[in-house]
Amino acid sequence: MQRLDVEREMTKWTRREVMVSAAVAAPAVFTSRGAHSAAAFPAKNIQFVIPYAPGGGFDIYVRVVTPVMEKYLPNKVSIVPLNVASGAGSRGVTQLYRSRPDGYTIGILNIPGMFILQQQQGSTAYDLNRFTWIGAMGEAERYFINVGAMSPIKTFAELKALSAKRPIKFSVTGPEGTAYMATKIGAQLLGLKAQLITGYKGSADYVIAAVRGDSDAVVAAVPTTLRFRRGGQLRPLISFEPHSSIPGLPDAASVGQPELENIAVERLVAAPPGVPADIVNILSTALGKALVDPVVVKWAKENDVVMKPKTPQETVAIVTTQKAFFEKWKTALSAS
Amino acid sequence: MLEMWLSGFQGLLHVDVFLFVILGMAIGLIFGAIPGLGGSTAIALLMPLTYSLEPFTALALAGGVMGSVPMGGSITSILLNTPGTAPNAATCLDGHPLAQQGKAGLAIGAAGSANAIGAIIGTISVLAVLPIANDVVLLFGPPEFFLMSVFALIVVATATRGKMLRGLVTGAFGLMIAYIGYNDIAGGERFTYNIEYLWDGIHLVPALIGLFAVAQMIHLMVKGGSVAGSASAVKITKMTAGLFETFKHLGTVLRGSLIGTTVGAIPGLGGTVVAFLSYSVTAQASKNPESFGKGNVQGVIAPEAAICAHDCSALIPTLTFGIPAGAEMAVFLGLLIIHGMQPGPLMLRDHQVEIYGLIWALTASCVFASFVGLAFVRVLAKITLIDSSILVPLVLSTAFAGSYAIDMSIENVVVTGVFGVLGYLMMRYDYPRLMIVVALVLGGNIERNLHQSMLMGEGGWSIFFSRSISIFLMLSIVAVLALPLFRALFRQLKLRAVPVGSDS
Amino acid sequence: MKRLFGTPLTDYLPALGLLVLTIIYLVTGYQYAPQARVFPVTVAWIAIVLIGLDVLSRTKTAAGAVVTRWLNPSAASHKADEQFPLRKQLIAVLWPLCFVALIVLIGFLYAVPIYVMASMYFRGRLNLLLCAVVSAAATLSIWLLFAQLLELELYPGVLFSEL
Repeated sequence: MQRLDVEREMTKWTRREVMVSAAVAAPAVFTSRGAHSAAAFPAKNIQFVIPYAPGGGFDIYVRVVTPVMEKYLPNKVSIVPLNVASGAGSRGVTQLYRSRPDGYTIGILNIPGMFILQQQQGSTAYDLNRFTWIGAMGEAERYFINVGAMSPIKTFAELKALSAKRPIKFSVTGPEGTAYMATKIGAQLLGLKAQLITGYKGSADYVIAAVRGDSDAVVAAVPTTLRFRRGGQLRPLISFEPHSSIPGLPDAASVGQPELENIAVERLVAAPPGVPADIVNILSTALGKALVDPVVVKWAKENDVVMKPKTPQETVAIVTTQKAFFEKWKTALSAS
Repeated sequence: MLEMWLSGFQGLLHVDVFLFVILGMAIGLIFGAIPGLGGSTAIALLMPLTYSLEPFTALALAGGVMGSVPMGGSITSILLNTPGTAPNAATCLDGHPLAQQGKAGLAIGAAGSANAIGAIIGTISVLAVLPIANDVVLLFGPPEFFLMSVFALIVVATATRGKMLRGLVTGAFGLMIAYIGYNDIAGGERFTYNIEYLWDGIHLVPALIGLFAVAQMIHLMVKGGSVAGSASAVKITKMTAGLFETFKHLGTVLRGSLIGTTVGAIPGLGGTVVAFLSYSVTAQASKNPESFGKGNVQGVIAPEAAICAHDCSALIPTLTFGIPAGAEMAVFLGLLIIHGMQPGPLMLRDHQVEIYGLIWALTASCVFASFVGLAFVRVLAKITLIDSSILVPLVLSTAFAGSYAIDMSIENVVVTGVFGVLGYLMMRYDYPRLMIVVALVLGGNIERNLHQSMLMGEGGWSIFFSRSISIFLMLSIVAVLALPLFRALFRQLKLRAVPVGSDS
Repeated sequence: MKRLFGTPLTDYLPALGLLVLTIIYLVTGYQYAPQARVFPVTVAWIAIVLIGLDVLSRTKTAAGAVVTRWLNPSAASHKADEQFPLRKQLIAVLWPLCFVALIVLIGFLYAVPIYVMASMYFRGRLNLLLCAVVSAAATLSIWLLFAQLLELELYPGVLFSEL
């Protein structure tokens, strides 16, 4: 079967729309005529590509922030979320990459998730370094090592002691996911012998595995573990943050492994390569203001996330750091 | 707690909330009927609408949608052999033959009433179990999921008793197809031949639409005429007959609801398997299993009761742990979080009224949807009289468009086409399709859970013997395998009991 | 019609078709790492054994009869659509496949009306005006539901994207 290049047609969509409108004699949803200068931007709805299925973590962030972001755009338009979930995210990313660089298509990317995925898939359809970076949906998600509340292990020291006797069983998702990366690199940096139980199908799933006792411990990010920690079902042992946000826990500084803080999931907002700087400016300003809007701040507080805005330059710096980190650990990750 | 039940119910009695339930019901019916679209698409579509709503109202709307989707799906399953949602494929097996015999009204009536009763039973079970759900769900892990999947596979295989060999062949084939895609366990792609689309494997819903809807349309083109053989039978078909049949077979309804509720509460198998499991168990337990697949109304009642009961109880793992029991629940989960409700044990503590309101909304919607279906039976049954040259292209257009719309992949349409031809060949050469569906769904589960169990038990099989539920499941598997043997033995003994010398 | 073990050769075709597919699958499976191929390869071997039994059950030998009686008793009963000429079946299979090809090439909004009209006119021999009205209505409904309400971009077709 030939590979059908769906993505290539996306840049020609506007011409097609005109044909369709003529054929069906009904107003098209999107009009497209004339050059888009910064003064007129945005003149129509903006599409926000989410490379994941509705209801997932990234989807939720987008759906909370974009209605607020609309308010901070110079003209009154809607930002319409579009879920493109195939291929564990690669199809959405490819679609974003190939869209017209006019500022009317932006999307959210998981870094370093996409680096990992691209390596696993061997896809050459997009170059993550060439995206136009706009900003971030808040601070990166940091990882913790947690155990189930019913586990006999009470501190990180005990975990380390156990590791000397036998490998620690960690539950993770699949090798294409960030949990796998976080567990492998984290265990290595902390000197823990790890046995990964792979294959769990989602973020809640693999954390429940630890609650249930399938695995000894689980490396998971703050938002995923929130409901379990609050319910008293999960006990965090150590934080990968430079300084633990949960008081009383060891962290990257106290165990002397500053590299741990690079293990993070960034939620970055990007546009196709080549978007003009003034349009990027409009978008990133709107995003930044949305993140400090009271509605978003309130939601963030309830859900224990930090929505600090980032400038495009800061975002580019994040991507560069993450890329370097990923390159360093690439071979270790692909060895099983 | 009782007062929470009641206040949840009372919350629905406000006019505006009630209207949202009805709105959700209507949308769910339509989205359930169109193949490829379903509860998940509907809720995702309605999400922006809910931003300005109170959490209670938003949940009522979602409950309205989720409750009526099965009924919408069963209508197209029966009339056109087109599963509106994946679980409704089980309804096609006997529902469509009934429509072909002109008894579409009977089938829709039975489906509607089974839906409603299944939902009510499911709801009562959920409300009773919810407080202890936490602990119960945690008892089931990979070893149990593995055994449950194997159990389901075997039950469904033995149900195709008359064609067991062919059924096993298609089952094996379904398992083979299930392993196409990225291997979550060890990394690396299998059987994808470098086609990007196949990374996720063969998508289930497009394949089902092909296997059932497209294959049936091909058959209709060959046969010519309309779905129903005779117009006279269609004219007299009545919805009350369907209602009557459901009450006549109350045992089947109860059995289906029980299967739906228990299996739904454990995030292991999913609605599709539940429907087929309920179907197979009923076929096995019946006195004339050969009549299944040819228009036995119990073959409609069993899966429909199970599906609705399952949808109610699938809320348990979603609400208590945030483990979505399917795509619809995943979107619903997103809705909850956006509205500031974190699923988990705290949810049951802090948002009890909303949860009970949701459950009532779901049940109410299910019951109302049944009434709507029943009310329109006459009109709907007329669809079976439309000539194939008009009906076929319309159904195919909608089926392919719906298949594409699932995730905007044109490859879905190709999959639907290919599986359509495959499905027709299977009809033509007498290979049962139900095994391939169950195998396709369970193949990945079986491999993954076995792998995880082995790692948990550090390499040995002993883990299966150290957990009480696993032991129970293994005994059940042995029982199911031994059952036909016992039956044959029993029959032999009965024959011997006939006195020698009597006239045969 | 040549016969093998008492059964016409064409009767073996379905089973043999499956066998070919399984063998391709098996060969591909052996290329993968041992842990990755355990399940698929095991299932494929089981499939081969089962297909072998299936072929056996189609023969008219004594062994075949035993297999049929124990494992496939209702196989003797009718096969769907056997009474219709092969040509009709082939055409019925080709129509949807052509529709798929049409959708891939020129997209939904052109393929649907063309297909509906062609089907109603050539197969149903219906009044041309009725065909046009029904296909326009069908296309409009699909466009309204998918493109407008759901705001999905209906696939525009490979040919048009090359322009």
